[in-house]
Amino acid sequence: MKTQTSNEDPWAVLGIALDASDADIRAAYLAGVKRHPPDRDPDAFERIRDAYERIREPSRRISLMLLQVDPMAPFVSLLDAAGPAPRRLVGMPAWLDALKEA
Amino acid sequence: MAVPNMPRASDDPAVRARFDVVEQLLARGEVRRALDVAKDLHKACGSPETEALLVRVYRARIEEMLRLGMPNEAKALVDLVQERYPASRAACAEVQERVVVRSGNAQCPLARLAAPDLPGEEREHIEAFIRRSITDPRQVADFAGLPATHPLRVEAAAVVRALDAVTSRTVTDADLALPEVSRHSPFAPWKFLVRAVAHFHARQDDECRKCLAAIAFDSAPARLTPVLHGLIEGRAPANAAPAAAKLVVAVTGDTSRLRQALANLDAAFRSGRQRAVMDAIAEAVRECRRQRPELLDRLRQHISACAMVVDIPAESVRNAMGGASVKDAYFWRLFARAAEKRAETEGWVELFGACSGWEEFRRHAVHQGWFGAGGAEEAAVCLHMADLLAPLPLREYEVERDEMVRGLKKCGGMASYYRPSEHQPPSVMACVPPAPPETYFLYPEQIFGRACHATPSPELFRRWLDWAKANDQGDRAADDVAEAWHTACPTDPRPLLVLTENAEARDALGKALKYLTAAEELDGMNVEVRRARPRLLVATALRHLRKKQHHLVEKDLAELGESSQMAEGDWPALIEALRWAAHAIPSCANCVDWGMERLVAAAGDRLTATYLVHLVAHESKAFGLDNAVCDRLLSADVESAAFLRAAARARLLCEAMHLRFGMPEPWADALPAAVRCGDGNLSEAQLRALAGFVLGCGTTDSSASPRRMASTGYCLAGYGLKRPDADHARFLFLRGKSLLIEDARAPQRGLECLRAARMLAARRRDMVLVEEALDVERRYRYLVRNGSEPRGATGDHLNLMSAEQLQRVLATERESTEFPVVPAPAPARGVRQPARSAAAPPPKPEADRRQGVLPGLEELDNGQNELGDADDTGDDAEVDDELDEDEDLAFLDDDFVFGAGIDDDDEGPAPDMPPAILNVYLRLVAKYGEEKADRLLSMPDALARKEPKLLEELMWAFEELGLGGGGFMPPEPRRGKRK
Repeated sequence: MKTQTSNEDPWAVLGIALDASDADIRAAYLAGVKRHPPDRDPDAFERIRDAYERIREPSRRISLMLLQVDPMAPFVSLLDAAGPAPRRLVGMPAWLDALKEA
Repeated sequence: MAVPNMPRASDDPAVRARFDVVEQLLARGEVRRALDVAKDLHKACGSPETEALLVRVYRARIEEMLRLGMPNEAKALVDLVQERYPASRAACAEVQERVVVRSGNAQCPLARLAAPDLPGEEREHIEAFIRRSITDPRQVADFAGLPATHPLRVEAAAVVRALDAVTSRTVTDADLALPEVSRHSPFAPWKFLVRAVAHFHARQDDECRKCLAAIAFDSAPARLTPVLHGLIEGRAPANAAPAAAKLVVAVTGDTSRLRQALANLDAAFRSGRQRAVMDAIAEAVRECRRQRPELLDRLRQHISACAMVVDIPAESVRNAMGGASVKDAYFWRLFARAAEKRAETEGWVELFGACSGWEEFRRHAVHQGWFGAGGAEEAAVCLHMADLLAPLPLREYEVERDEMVRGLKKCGGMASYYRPSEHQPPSVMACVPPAPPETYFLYPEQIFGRACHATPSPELFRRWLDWAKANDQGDRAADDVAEAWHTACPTDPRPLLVLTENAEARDALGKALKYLTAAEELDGMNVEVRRARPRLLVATALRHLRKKQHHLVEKDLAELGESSQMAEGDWPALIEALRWAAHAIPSCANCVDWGMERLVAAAGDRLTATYLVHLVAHESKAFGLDNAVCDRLLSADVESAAFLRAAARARLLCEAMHLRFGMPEPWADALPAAVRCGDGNLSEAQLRALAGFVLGCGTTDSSASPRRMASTGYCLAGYGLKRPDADHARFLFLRGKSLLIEDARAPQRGLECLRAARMLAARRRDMVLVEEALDVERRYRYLVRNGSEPRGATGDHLNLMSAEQLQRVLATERESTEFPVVPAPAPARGVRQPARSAAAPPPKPEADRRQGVLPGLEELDNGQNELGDADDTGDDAEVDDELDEDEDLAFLDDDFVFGAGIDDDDEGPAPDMPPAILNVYLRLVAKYGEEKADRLLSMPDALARKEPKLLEELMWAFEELGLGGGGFMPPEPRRGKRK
């Protein structure tokens, strides 16, 4: 089943910054494909390839950069676009407590 | 303690069932109930099996006590079980160690390590105890009973340091090395745990999983494996202990409340109640600050933009947010997009704000390093601004723009967004707009110039050029663009061709030839360059003929003869026609026979020769001669197929010469009937040229109605579609155009044809046709939607179709041979029958049509033939029959074209012309004089070029009369055609 990927931020999918160069984009794409080969993880591979196709050409990349934002998009989409929350460093005691009770 | 004669558990189904009950209770985590059942069972059966089951349940209960923080109770229970069931000592050893550690008595086994004569076996036993049971390495690292240099203390201390590092800060490889811990050490599993945690925080989940898999399953750190797997998934594992669940929340956060707050904010904006919006903003900001502080700036920026779209005062929003949003590139991009959204509801003036926003975005994006200055990205931003402004109505736009420029200069542009009260970060304040503010982004020509300067690509210059032509910026403006293009791309012949065509359009043929020579030097094999020279040479000869400089014509003809291109196709015949004209024009009408045989031989048939003569005479303004020739040579009946071939060949020549001259009026009148008789074995190019002609500009001289021309083009396109190897995209385009022209007989079908044409053309990379089809589609929608749709807008109608749909459209159009008929609207009271329909001659006998024979010119001129009104005798006549009298619509009978009635009687406008149209006519007369005004009205394209506003008014007048624009399309971009 083809995943719905068109609304995803291609820069976020590839894990690169907005100012990434052509070489950076290609390197991120190759690294992603290597991590998620199509035979083992077809959905992730599809996402990565779709993201790469959308930003590989400078002209398409720029148009996307200009037009991808929607000021009227639901605010919740901010959370989704930001991806999973950062993993916070909570210190050793919390980890040892969890281990003690496990 | 087995009881004799008791049944074995496996033998008695009832006992077996109670065993199962215990297992189920354990699986559900109901340990206490399981213990009660196991006790009863053992009391009743007393077998080794029931004892083993009871001990297992006791162990589960002890582990539960440890999880619940009851280590002392757990220790008491272990002692009790070991005392009551001595056989269970081995089974309880592991849990006993954990109880000892948890109850703070780990020192007991550790202390024995200090004994110098500790047997190796016992040392191994203690180390196994450490590996399995020590859940806090600090217990070993800080154990004073061992010397500080004892290897186990050193290893434990290293593990503590590493674990503290990976859970508190970003670590390096050195932090994770742990050289003190060997792989045989009881702390070796901790080494993998430390690395797993480090990979987890570095978002290297695969590596984290590998490290977790490497942890020995019976070691103490292995108990954290399910928790870490849960952390990777972002949720606590099932049946997690409270501390584990707490850890998951602490590490990954819980955004459920923030999600709810954001959903409430969406709902508040939808409700439109300002108070609710303010409350929701405050709540969302508060939750975001608490749960996802890193997203707070983004949230503020989105709230600001959204509030701007729905017109909530910025000051109130800022107060509710507890501060201003950061005015960086991200914000300005949102700002600009929000202004574009506002323009959809508030009008195009908001687009000025959008352009201001894009300019701020451009500056900040360069400053933040999103892209470099003066590159393709900057050009793209500029082009986007130009796309926003280009379709705006020029006159109103200029007024509003001047107002905007004054306003910007007065208030300092966007400076208010950078006031100290806005508390912008230094990175934003380093990019404050210049003073006085820039305003280039309000002038499309300056925007295009900037874009082309950043990226001097032919596509950009072409777009600039198209804009300059479409906005009637004058010949000089288009020349300036072409000059700039030539300067930027000196080896590209295209700007020189543009200059050539512009000069040609101004009749500056000498200058045009000079530009062409330069283009030939750059790329003499370029198709457009090769086509230009014969065209210019013929134009020069025609001009000499017009100016009666016949002695120069021979020189022109000699030069034409030397050109290699002139030996191909119908060019030799045209040269003969020019030679004839050079001889006949200075003589008299009686000399028309001179050289005629040679011309007929070159043309291949008399009809084509006649057309060429007519063409040359007309272009030379030798009208008397023109009429004389036509009278003599067109008087005979001709076969429709021959007629079509001659007309098509002549049209191809006209196209090659960029001549707007169509065909003699009687020919144009006869064309629809001839087309209905068959395709005349025309080549594909001839079919295209003829169809393009009848659908493009109608005829210059004919009074044939746009509707009849549409049906003719429809028919010609059908011939092309039926040919298997033809360019179906082009013919679908022509078919679609025929269905949208005039009163749009079948608009949905026409739009489908255009979409199918675009799809086919895109497959063949024919982007010119794609653009043409898009343009027709947009123009049609522009008319239908009262001009509310801006050019370049995208929407559902621009989507392509599937391959199946495409095949269906192709099949339908191949089979559809009859021009669609729409039912006439119900006749208004008092509508009268149009005079022409009433006086229409009876239909031509079907037998004549089958023979495909056309009448002579005399018959045509006298208006006695029915070919010109062939459509009137068919379905249209039926429609007309339903019409009644109506003074306002009387002038709009089936064959009405602008200027036709005026030409006929030469007494000014038709007396029944509606006031709105009369008003346009009178303004044209005031400006150009009566004769020229009449000519302009009969030539929509010329009118579109010279007076686009008046044409637009004219179309609206027709729209108001419910006549679909009167067959006119909005002005097309001008091509470099000679006037």
